[in-house]
Amino acid sequence: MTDLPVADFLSALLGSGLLLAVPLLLAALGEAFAERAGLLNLGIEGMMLGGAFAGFAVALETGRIAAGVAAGAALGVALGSGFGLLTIWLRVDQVLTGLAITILGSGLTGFLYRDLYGGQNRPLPTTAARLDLPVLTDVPVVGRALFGQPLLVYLAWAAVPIAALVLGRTRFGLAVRAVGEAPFAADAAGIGVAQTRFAAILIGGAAAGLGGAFLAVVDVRTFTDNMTLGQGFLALALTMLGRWRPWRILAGALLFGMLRSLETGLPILGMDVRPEFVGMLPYLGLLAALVVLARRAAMPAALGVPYERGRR
Amino acid sequence: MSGAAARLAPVLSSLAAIAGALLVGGLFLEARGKDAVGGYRLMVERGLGSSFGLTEIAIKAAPLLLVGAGLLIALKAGVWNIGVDGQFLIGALAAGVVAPGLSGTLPNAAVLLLAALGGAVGGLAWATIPALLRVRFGLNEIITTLVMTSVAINLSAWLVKGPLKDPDVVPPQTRLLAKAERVPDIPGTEVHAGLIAGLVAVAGVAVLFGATVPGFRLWVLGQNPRAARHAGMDVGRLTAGALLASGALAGLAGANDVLGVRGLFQANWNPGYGLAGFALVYLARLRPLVVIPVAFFFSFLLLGGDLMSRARDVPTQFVEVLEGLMLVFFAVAVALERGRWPHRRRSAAVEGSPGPLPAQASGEAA
Amino acid sequence: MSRLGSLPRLFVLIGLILGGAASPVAIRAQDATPGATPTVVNPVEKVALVTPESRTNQGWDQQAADGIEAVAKRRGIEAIVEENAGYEIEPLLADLADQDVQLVICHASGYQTVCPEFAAEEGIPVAVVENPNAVAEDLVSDIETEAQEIAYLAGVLAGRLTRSGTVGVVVSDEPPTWNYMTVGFAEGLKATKPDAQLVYSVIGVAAYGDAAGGKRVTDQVLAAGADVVFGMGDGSTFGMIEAIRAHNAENPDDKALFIDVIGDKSQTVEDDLLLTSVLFDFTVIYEEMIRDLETDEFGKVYTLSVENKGVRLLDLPQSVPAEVVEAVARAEAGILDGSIAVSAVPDADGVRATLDELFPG
Repeated sequence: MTDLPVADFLSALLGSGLLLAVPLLLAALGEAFAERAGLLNLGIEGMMLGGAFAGFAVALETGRIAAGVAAGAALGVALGSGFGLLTIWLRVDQVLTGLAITILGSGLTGFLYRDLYGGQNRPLPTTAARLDLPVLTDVPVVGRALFGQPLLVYLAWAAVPIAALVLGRTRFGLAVRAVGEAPFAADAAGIGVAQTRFAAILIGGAAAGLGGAFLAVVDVRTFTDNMTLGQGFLALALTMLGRWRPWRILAGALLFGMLRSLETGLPILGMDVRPEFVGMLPYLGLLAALVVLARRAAMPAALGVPYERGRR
Repeated sequence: MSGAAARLAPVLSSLAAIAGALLVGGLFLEARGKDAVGGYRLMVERGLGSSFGLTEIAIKAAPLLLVGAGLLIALKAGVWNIGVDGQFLIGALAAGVVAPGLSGTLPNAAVLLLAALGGAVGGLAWATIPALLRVRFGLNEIITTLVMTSVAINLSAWLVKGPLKDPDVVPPQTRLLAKAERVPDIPGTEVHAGLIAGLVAVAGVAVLFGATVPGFRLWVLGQNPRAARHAGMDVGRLTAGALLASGALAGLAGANDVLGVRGLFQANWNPGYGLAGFALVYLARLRPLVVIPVAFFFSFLLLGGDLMSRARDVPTQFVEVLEGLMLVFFAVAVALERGRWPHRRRSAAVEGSPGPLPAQASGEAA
Repeated sequence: MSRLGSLPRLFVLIGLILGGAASPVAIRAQDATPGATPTVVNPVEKVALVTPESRTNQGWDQQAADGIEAVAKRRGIEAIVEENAGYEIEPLLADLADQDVQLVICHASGYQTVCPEFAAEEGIPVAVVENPNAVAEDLVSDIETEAQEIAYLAGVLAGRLTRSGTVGVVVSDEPPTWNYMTVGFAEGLKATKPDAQLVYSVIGVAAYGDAAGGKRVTDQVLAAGADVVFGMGDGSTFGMIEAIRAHNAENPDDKALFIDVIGDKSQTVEDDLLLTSVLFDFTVIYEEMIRDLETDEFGKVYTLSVENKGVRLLDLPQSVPAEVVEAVARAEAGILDGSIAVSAVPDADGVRATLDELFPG
């Protein structure tokens, strides 16, 4: 490729990598709360898809992007509370509950998309507000990609230090970690195990719903069947890769986003590779990263274990 | 409470879950202005009331039984193989390469057996990586098997579009195994003999857990990994073994579809039995012999639900809605059942759900 | 600068369809006089169509579904559309046999083995796509979608209208239908603007419905300097359009253009974005196929072509300069009189080889 405008193209690669990372980042940050509290949520995929559909439907009906984004988060909270009711209150198996939510999410969104909109593609009437940070956007190559993004992208980045702060430095964060590591001790110390776990899964649900809404409402600006394509499961892998630490999760999400972006970027740059072949690479990279960074990761000790007072 | 009632309770829970899902699914249809009663009637008529329907249900039950048998081994041992779909695809691809490759060189029965073996080895090989990662590096197999499925989808597409493609046709697919050379039908039916393999596999799992030492060890591992370790069991080997066996059976399911039905592996084909397999093994309460009727029921649900949706102008995703509802109701039913008979709590895991998550096990893995 | 308003445009469109000519890219009216009408030996009353993806994608699947329904309506017969059927269609086919359909159109190149097997077993005629080898008398017909000639015209258009000299092709996978058009488009581009650059990008494995991927890849293709994008995607096309929309909103003085395939999205996509589309119209072929079935002449290859108007270019917007319209019309005349030969390349390797040859470097 002789005439390729290299700076513009690299900027676009970076930009699409960053956009790809946002839903993963949001969902994985939420999952970090849930897993730290002892809840493994395999329903993220369904929650993201639900958030994508709710966000799309509300943004379409109201003509407001913000309303759509809020609706996506709200649906995530609703599904999260369903997960919480089943796994915390009824002590149902978490994997079972998560898979149920994922299947339901895929089925219901596909069903309703057909039923309400005839499955016809409808672009949203407005675009998400973009925030161009003055001066910074003029930095060559990275400026535009980093500092000319939709508002929600910055909010997702801002969520990283906030999550780190909340998990690491607040009473609530301490409680979350306590109920995930040693629920009996936490209970004995007067921490409400059920309440804390419930709060954590609500955060997880909201974040997953928000991630889905970002995808549908801000990024692609339409809904298609199963549009999350396994991103919820990827978020689970990233949570583990990041060892439940927000900054590391950010690094993992960015890395994966960039790899996905390069997947189509490399052929444009002139590399003669099969799309199916490069399609494997981000996942192989993820596995390799897991081996290097997350082997023998000390998982929250009570992850996946229902809590019942007096029954060890 | 009498022993009979105790034994019936789990069955009733599963039946209640199915009934609840059909009821709520029906109300949902009615709420969306569709005729639910007519739809369900059509489902039964098309699925059970015609020889074509019964035949298709029996054919489709075979992969579900094979996948179910594999998931039984894994889940009973507390190993979470969420990557069935990837193992299925690699097994299917292996069978799709081996069978036409050997065709004509050996007696047909030998070709089919070797190809089936190839499928099982393919699935097993695919499960080896998560097994190694789990045993050597303590990486949770929920995550790694999921990621491996994404790799499998791309890898199988790459291979079938490139080196393994039949050069004589345009679309990306392996060479065709002629219809006459595929798995023969069970005499007197139009159902190929893969169904027998599925039934044998499930029966084998029943024997494994009912009457053998390895089965007992796997069961102890699933119940309490710590106890297994204290009893001197090689937890790593057991875990890997469960995952490999599960993968091999998923691969065999892929071979079943290629050798019995399709005759080739093609790009973009991914029936995705994994989630349905999970749902059905749960609904069967991890009991091997109960898996058999539940697999037939799921086969009916998948087929009848799809045909009904198409005939009644209902979005085909309705089947997924029913599956999801069943799992939710099942979860609630199991919880109620435990609450109702608190003294059974201690054995609740035996009845309703697999052991604890591998978190503890991997935390301890040496 | 805009096209005609949507309502008058609709009338023009209807007029064109009824009148059969007079579009800017005039296509000669077919001489529709059959010889002696053969007698109907077996009247066809029930036909079926199976498509892999959702019929709501305004693309491959929808165009066929709409086509068979239109033909059925015209003939007063029943058409069963099994859309979104995936690639495991054995049970569906068995169900269709059970309902005594007289013809199954298997609308995916991925169905080209299962459907002939089904036909042989059940004795029910089927039509496959892109598999002329499967044709069998009375049982199997084949539909060829060789739209490379119209894609060539789209390439001429792109070559004329690109300002940057870089043109993008974005595909959701590499099936024969897309491959034919990719090569046709590339040849038209090369013939019109020999120094042009072509950026070819595949979204991923079976990414037909991956709108997010379509957007991402199109973003990259635009950033690589493309200002005309030829997109073949089905559902993922909506993502491509979204990417161009965003690009155009940001660069009002340097707007990119999109060339679509198969369906007509001019009602929903703005005029300064959608340049044209390589339209597929399956009704011609379906009509002919059913007629042949009735007169016992089933079992041949049907080709969507420029001649039978199975493929044509969507009317160009008024903003396209007259000399460009003329250039396209000249190219079309060249194709029709045989002076321009467009290659028919069905496979992905062939596409890559051709592109490397036409656009080295």
